[in-house]
Amino acid sequence: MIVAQQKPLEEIRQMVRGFRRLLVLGCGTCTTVCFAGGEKEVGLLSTSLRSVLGQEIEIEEAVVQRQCEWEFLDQVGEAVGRAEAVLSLGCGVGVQGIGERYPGVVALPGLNTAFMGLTEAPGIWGERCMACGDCLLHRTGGICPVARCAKSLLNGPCGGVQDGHCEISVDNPCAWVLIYDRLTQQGRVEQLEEIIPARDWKASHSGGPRRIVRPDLRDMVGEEV
Amino acid sequence: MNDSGTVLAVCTCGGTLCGRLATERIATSPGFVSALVSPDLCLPAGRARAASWLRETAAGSLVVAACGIPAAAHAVAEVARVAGVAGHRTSLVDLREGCAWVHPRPDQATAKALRMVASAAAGVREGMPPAPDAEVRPSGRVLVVGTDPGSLAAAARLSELGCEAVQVTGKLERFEGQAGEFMARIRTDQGAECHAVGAVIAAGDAPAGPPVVQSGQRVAFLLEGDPWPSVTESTLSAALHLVRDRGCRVVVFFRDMGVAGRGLEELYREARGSGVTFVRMEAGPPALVEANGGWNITLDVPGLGPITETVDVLISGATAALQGTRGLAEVLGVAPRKGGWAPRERALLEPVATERSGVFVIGPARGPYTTDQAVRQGEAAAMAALSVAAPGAVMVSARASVDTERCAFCLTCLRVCPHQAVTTAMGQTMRVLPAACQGCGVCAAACPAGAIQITESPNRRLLAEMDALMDGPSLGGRPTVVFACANSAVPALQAMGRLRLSYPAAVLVVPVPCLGRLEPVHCVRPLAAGAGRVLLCGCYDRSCEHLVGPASARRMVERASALAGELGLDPGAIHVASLAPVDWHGIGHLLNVPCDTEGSAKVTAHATA
Amino acid sequence: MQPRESAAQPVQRDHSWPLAIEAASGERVGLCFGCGICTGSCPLASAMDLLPSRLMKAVQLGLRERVLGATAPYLCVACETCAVRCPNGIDVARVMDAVRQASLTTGRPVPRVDIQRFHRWFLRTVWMFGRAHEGLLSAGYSLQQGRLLQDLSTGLALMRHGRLALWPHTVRRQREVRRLFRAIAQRGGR
Repeated sequence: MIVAQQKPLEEIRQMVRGFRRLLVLGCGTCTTVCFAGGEKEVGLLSTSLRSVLGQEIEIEEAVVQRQCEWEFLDQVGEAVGRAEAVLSLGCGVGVQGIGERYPGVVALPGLNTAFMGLTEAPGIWGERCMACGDCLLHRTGGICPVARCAKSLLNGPCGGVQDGHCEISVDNPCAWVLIYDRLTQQGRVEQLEEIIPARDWKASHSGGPRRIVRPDLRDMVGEEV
Repeated sequence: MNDSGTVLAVCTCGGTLCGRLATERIATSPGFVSALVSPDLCLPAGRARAASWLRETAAGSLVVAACGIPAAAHAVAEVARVAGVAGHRTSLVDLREGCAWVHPRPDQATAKALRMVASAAAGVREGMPPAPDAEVRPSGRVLVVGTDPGSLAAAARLSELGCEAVQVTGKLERFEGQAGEFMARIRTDQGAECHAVGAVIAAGDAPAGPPVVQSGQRVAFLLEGDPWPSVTESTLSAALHLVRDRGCRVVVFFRDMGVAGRGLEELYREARGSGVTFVRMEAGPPALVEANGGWNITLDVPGLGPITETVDVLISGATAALQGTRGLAEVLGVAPRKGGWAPRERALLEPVATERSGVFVIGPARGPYTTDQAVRQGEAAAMAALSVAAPGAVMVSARASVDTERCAFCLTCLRVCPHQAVTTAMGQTMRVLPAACQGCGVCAAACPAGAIQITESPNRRLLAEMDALMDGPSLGGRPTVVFACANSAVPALQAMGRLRLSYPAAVLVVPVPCLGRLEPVHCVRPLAAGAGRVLLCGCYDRSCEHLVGPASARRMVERASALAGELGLDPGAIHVASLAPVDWHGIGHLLNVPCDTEGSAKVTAHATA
Repeated sequence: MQPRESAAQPVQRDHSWPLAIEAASGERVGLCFGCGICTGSCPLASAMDLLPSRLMKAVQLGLRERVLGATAPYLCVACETCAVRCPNGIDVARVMDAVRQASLTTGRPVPRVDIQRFHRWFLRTVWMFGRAHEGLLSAGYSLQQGRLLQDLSTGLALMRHGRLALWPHTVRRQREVRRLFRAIAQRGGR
């Protein structure tokens, strides 16, 4: 899932300065699950903003199931219509969804969208995927060197491994150590002898923003016949 | 709840089926705990006998093998109700029009009947209880949007009939709900008004009048769009008047001059004879250049070269809906057609109805119109709206239902539904609106999680019936599985039965509400089970009541054929064919083609013709 | 409607000309809706440069130069099949006739001089003998056209069938025939 973290209150306060009517909009899916932008967080943040900003600002609160679907965003149309700005507690996709659906209102990000990852333990989330567009997890024992190696190396660790940890982000294990251990455990360590060639990164974001089109799922009802 | 098993009742239709089918053999089909053979299940005495027998057996499921007339279905429902068997655990098999009358050889007919009965038995065991009844309370009011003659006529007629007509002139901003219970928000100069109404009659913006023409001027009429009788009539009348009474020179540029209407042919002749010049736009639209306050119109006439007409006034026939009308269709949830008008023309729809129950479109929003046409449409819409909006609570059971535990909230069902019957209730759950759902099954085919199903025929039931149908005694040839759409192929097959026309017993018919309900698995599974061909018989694109059935089926068949190829089956064995409703002749052709490669080619040729 | 550049130079048109043809032929040219049945039934359509239905359209559109410069009206033999078949009851052959006359009276070069000559020789023998004399007509026409021996076998065949007499047939009231010619000449006809 997408993992995000709320921005510091001071930064949010600067962002909403000058608006008299604000809608704080939460998201019921990813940001709820990582405790950054769900209903409770919306309530807490709104309370904090009211106490800091006082009479300057009128704050309304709402939550939608997901901010990345037009139909869900449509449900808060009236509330958006009343606001000058919407402080989104969804991921960056949600903030942009609001902006595209309601171009007349100012869409503000209340969160920093961090990464795609999983819940390692309650309260601890770790990055696992960088959407490189050309998954090679079958070659690395199910552990991603693109996302979990700081240098995204593809054929083994660099020389900076220290006690199994990455020299760049010392709290993180070295991905290649993990890969080696996993493959050994599975009795498939000779797979490491296959060299993963230099990648074409066009499928990743380096090639530009991506889009997927499935012609077989095109809307048929809306076509003019 | 009783459930000693599944039982079978066989009706011999007064004994007439005995000569054509081995009814005793059918009655002893395996898998039933008890069987009854009756000569007259449709008559009161027969029904009573069957009901008491059924009660005695304490069965939980019932299969009735009888005929295909509506009375038989009523009889089955009554018997089941009296005996306490749930409706979704009953099944009626048509052994008469659907078997005995169309398969002349008794041995083959019997083999087919045995399969059909086994299929029904497999199906009832997977029957899904219907969604609980929901109460719909029509508000007794009808919203009329527009002030053109049609809207006025509609409002007047509604008032005459004692129904409250709310006539508004503003812009319809938001519209949601179901027939009987709509919520409409209108934006006027004074602000926004919300109305709770049972139905809506929408007319859209009336076009502004044509430009003023002075005597002696040179005038051109430009008719680019599809021919509309109303546009043709008004153009010809105007052209004639200008030439005869106002001394103008008139040229009419047209693409099609459709004059198959009362008085139109004479009007056209009169116009030609009076000196109106008609120029057909054979090679495409003309080039228009403004010059000296008028226009230079240049058109290439094949064989004669480019000609230029210089005119003072250019009058364009309505070629596309006005901006206001385009938006209207979208707000109403009605699919537009080319030009921005609504709705799509559908053979089976009433003249003013749309694919969304309770929404009626007339006059300017429907297409170019004349005053008397609009008035007639308005009155027709008023009558139709009344039946939907008349006050008095109604209990309706939705024909589709959502398993919330499987639902992933992807919104696909909401998006593909042609009848605006699926909503999210404030994002908490997906809800099917019972007064809007028409049970087509397009949502079920599209749902990636199999969460939404048509209660009469959920996937489990359809697959169980299909598997049982594919397994049984020989039918004298390689089976062809025909998926028959309820609006076209099913009545066509019924008609074949009544006309005593025949088709091979190896043709296995699976009725579906709409071809849009089918998925690749439905097409590939029969092939894997030995079928030589799978035929999807449905309506034409322009006749599909659910708008997208045939198109959706064609798209799906591409995927199914690819899948068949990957599985080592014949990728060319799945076809989609279009039929007019009740086209017994057409379907007869399709079914009687032998099941070999040459036959397949003929089917393809016919299907794509 | 977007204004677009026109592809080629448009043709000259004369908007009063269709009325002139209507007056000359007595046929309501405007009634033609372009079905093409006249073209379909015309035995000479394959040889025409401007098909009968196109010619009618051209007249309607006032494309005078184009029509007067066409050879089609000269090829028309007035078999009247088009007139019989026209759904609007237009005698297309008469329109062709009117166009031919217009073509001859404008002083422009005649598109089919040979056909005009044939007609002239016909009229000449009528003037001389009161009846057409095929022998003199064919001889005179052939000589004028420089076709001396090419049609000889046809001529001999016609003679054998009694269709080509060497000696002209005459009429009693020769003078009245000549009076007809003079009356037409006086009215400006040729």
